[in-house]
Amino acid sequence: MSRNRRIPRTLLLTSLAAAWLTTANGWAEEPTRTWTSADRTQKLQARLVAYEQSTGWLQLKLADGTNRSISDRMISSADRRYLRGFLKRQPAVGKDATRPDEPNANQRSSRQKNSTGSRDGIDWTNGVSDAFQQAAATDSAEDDRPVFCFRVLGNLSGPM
Amino acid sequence: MRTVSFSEPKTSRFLNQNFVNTYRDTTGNPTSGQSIWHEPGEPAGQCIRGNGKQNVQSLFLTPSGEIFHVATGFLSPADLLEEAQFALQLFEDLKRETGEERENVIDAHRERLKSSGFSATEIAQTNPLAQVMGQMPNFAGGHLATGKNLQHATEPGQIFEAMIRRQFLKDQQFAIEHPLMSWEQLERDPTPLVGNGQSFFSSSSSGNQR
Repeated sequence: MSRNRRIPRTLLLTSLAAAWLTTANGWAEEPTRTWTSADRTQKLQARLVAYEQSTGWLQLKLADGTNRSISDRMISSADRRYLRGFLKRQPAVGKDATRPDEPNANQRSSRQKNSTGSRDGIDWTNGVSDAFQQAAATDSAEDDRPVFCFRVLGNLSGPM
Repeated sequence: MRTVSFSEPKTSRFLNQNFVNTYRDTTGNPTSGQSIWHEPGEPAGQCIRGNGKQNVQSLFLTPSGEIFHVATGFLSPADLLEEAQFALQLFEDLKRETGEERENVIDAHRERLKSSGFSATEIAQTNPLAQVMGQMPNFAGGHLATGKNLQHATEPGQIFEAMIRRQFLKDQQFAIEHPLMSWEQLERDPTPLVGNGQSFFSSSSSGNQR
């Protein structure tokens, strides 16, 4: 299939307008909604002004017109789902790349054993990424396993 | 922990059966502390829970790389087993109750603090959004009861107990204030977990400092 197809002018203009709307004020305007703290004890009426996924900070505009910046770690799962939906609605501007260590569908399906062997009683896998791959079940998330990561100064097989 | 905690059969069996185990060498990371290093075969020295948090962290993660539980510093075999059992139970709960995973992580750690004897005031300090929004009263100091205990502790046993209690509280606080923090975020900046200080860790009475 040819990759040199001409883009209709109207479609091009529409795309450029959408991109301008997105970048001129950070993002296209979002509606005012209720934000809930991660522990569900606090609520806040505000409109999302901007969200920087790489840093995890979002900027909210409160009803009194003031802006407030908070970290996405402070908000509820429902709010984070809203943020994910918000990012999906946006063009590629400002989006982060997918996390390099997160296994994709193909990686999950392979799930091959890659172990550095047992040392001091523990079966250690060969690195954190391999551990995530092995922990992700092939057929059902019900069969997922948790990962134990020992983050330590030194080498388990050498001096530490 | 290498020669003491992982080598205890009951603990290692539980980890091998229920977890995918991995480790990360933090040598060269500026947040790491200092240690007297020793070879694997050398006998280990005495440690108490929480020693050397900059150098020794036990992290429990989902397959997507989200940290749902931590225990920093040295853990005895029994402590490591208890932490792993708590983590496994929480992980199973997270799988069952999808949609509110972050809330469930927070609730589980708050409940753990409560059942471990921490006061409502101590637990209430772990509400980050409330502090940002200015809707919480300002508490004097960061860890009220722990600081109080340290002030009143006079015997060495009491001091150790207060230190262990403070470390336990901080570990639960991390999970409450950073529920499901990503592995990449922690690797970029581990200071929310280990702080800006530099701990010294020695599990051997002989060896070389580095």
